[in-house]
Amino acid sequence: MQKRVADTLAARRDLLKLGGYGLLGSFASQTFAPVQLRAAGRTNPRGTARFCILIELAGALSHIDSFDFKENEGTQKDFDVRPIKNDLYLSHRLFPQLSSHMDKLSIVRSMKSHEVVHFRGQYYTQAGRPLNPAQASEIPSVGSVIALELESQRRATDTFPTYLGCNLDTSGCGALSTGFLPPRHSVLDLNLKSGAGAAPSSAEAMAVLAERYRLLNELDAVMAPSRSGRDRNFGGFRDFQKSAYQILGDPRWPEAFQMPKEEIERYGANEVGLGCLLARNVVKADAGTRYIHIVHPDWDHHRDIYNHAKKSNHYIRCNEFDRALAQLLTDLGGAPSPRTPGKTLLDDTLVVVATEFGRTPGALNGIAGRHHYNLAYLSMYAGGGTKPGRIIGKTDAAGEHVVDTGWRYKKASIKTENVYATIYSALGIDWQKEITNTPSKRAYKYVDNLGATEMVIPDEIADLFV
Amino acid sequence: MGSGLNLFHYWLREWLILDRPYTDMVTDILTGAGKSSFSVPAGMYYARDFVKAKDDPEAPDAHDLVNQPDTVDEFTVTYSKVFLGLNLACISCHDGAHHLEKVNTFLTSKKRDEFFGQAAFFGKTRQIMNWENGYQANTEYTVDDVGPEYNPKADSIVRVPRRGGDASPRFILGGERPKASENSRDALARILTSHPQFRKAFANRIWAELMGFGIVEPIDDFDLLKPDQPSNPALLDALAADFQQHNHSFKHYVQTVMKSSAYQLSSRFVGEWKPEYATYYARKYVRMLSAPELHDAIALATGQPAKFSTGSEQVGLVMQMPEPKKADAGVQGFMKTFGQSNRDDMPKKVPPSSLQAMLLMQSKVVTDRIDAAKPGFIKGLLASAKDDQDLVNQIFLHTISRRPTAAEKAVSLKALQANRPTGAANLQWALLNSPEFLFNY
Repeated sequence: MQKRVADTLAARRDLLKLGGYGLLGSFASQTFAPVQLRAAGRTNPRGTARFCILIELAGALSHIDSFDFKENEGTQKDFDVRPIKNDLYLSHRLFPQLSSHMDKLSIVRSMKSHEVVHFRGQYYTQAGRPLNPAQASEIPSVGSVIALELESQRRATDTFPTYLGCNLDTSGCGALSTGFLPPRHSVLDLNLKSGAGAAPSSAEAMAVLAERYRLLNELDAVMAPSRSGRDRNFGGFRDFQKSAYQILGDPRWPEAFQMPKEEIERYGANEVGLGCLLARNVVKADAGTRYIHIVHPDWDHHRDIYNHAKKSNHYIRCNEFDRALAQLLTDLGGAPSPRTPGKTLLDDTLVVVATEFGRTPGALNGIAGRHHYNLAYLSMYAGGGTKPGRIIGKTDAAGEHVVDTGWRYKKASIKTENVYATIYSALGIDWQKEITNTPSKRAYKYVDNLGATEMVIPDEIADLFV
Repeated sequence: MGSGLNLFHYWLREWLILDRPYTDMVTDILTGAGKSSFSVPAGMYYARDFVKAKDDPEAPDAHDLVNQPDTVDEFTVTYSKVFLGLNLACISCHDGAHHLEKVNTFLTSKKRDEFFGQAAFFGKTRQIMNWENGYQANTEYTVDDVGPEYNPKADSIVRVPRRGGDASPRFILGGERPKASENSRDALARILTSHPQFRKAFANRIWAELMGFGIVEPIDDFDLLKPDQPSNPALLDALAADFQQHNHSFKHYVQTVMKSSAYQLSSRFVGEWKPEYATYYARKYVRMLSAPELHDAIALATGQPAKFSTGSEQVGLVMQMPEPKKADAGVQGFMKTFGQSNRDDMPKKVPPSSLQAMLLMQSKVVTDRIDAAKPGFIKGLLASAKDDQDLVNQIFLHTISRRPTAAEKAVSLKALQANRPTGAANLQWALLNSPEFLFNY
């Protein structure tokens, strides 16, 4: 059964040819034919969340020292481990604020990956599928697929891009492209710490920009004729300027970047703090963005993981993340939903915490750190229709192996594919859809059951919702 | 001159100024030995592709040892792409058959042990980590040729396990072997630089750089059995032959292409353009400036060079840097958005986006330079211009290399009315944001 989705932006298809981007590459010359969708129709996406914020702890969080806490030879004396409930413990030293928010969070402890390499693991986290070098150039990021799916829901007043990124450029694989999808579904990736691509900082700056833009338009109107007879993509960049200015000219955009000192202090002036603060503002604005992917880099502590003397260690990263997420949950949970009386913005927003794999359990290694570990690790969820406080799955006493998968598939650990099926479901997207007219002719399945080393069950983690 | 990357950059620059034969340069890179970061710039190129060996539980502090076969594989894939235009990455893990039928017809017939044979030219080459004063010198290696031969059953960190096969050194195209008692890397350099594919790959790559896209695309992934490739076999053959006949001179080749009528064609096409005409190069290919070009063009147009440090000197333009600027976050963000290349493994292509448009409007890379009060082009011009007409002419000439039309002049003069310095700055801003500035057409 095939469904055709109308292509609404004819002129922009060819923009992929700009910037020397592989003119004669396999799909760069493909005009973007309407995406041919095959809806498998076997799923019932829940549609419980309007927004999704994914926080990626890039470099790999140590699972046994964090949310799947296991006492071991590497446990530090200053961890101040406290019981949360049942078999769940948490280090108060590492997560002082989240310790009082654990009732809002659900944890999946039975994740497993085939990856041990950062670049590939982080690719997996952004693309929702293992890296396949032969196909990589055509594979879109999950966010771009979400942008495609939710495009029809954009209102005339929406200016913000559907898919927003924070610090994706610090991820090992950078910000993935739209692959075979049209460029308009691209992420708008901002690096707040380096201040790239933010917003006019004041009303004055806005006025200066407005006058300059007016002049640009007036001048371009008389310059445009000299482009005639040339490649029509020459002028195609003007479309991007127009949509860029729509964003810049929307007062909600600089407002989203208003970050008073107290708020920055509260969230933390670091990648995840600023990212969560921006995400909160963007969700509040509800001006077009539906999916936000924040990268918190630099978790890869092979050495000196708990050495206070080092500039980068797990204490620092955990504390930064702890503060940011706690404040995000507080603020979203305290804001009423403008859509549904009695609900909060947290009810409208699925917050997901992901990391590419875990870290070696047991004693610290020879350089006082932990290496990569993929046989057991975790992810976390809050809001967006999930039930709070669910603990799904269990690992053994050392945190080395999954002993209970915790969901209906007793023999299958939970994979990144399942995390994305859950996100698609929460956003109301049928995750068994396939796009058939790809450049390679291989069907692109939103959630692919062909995993890297074994078949994957392409299902959502229903236990989070019931 | 610096060390490491800076030294390599200096060495390349020297080679280009002297116009040494390209064959000599490639030979140096493939046969370099010695201490990687300091004495032999070419040795450094190979040393950078090292793959770390697994940590040895018996020697927990001896990290950063090199896995030789994996390192050799990585470098073989790299140099084959760069010097032969062949992407051997796939067959470095498995035979082409049952994998590459839809990807590359030529490589479908290749076996993994033919890749081993190519990698084996580097079989005996070792990288020994340097230690100084009891500390490991930061990624510096001594490169020599006294190691054991390439082992087709060696453990791999990054690849599918090697399961054996013929790993005697032999060239992937044609199977030529080293002569008796010839050092295998010398043999590689000799065979590779005299092979027709070497010349074609070079000719195609530089043609692509100058003309916008190659006679074969992608330029590092030739399919030698694809019927419609190259799009113009006679042209590619003639270009390669000319290159060889002129002693593999880079300068001569570039001059040949740039003096051709093909290169000098306008981007304007009279009549209705059809996409099929592209491979005939029937009009100049319009492309957006690359990230370094864009940054530098903005710096030059506004007369305000940057202040970058290479470690050993200060330079004002990105193109003078050996590698992308690390500090100065605003520049970094700008460059990444426009497809920053590190001249190593970051491709410089990136699709257009609204973020690019946003940055051109308000990144500090642009706005800090659009300031009539700052010493630079606009400030100087405000003082020296004869009148408003001259001011407008000079701004157009300096920014987009042409004079304004009458209509453009009218709009521009009006912009100066309210406030001359602000108007002049705004005018340059508008031109910097116009397609004529952003595109090479």
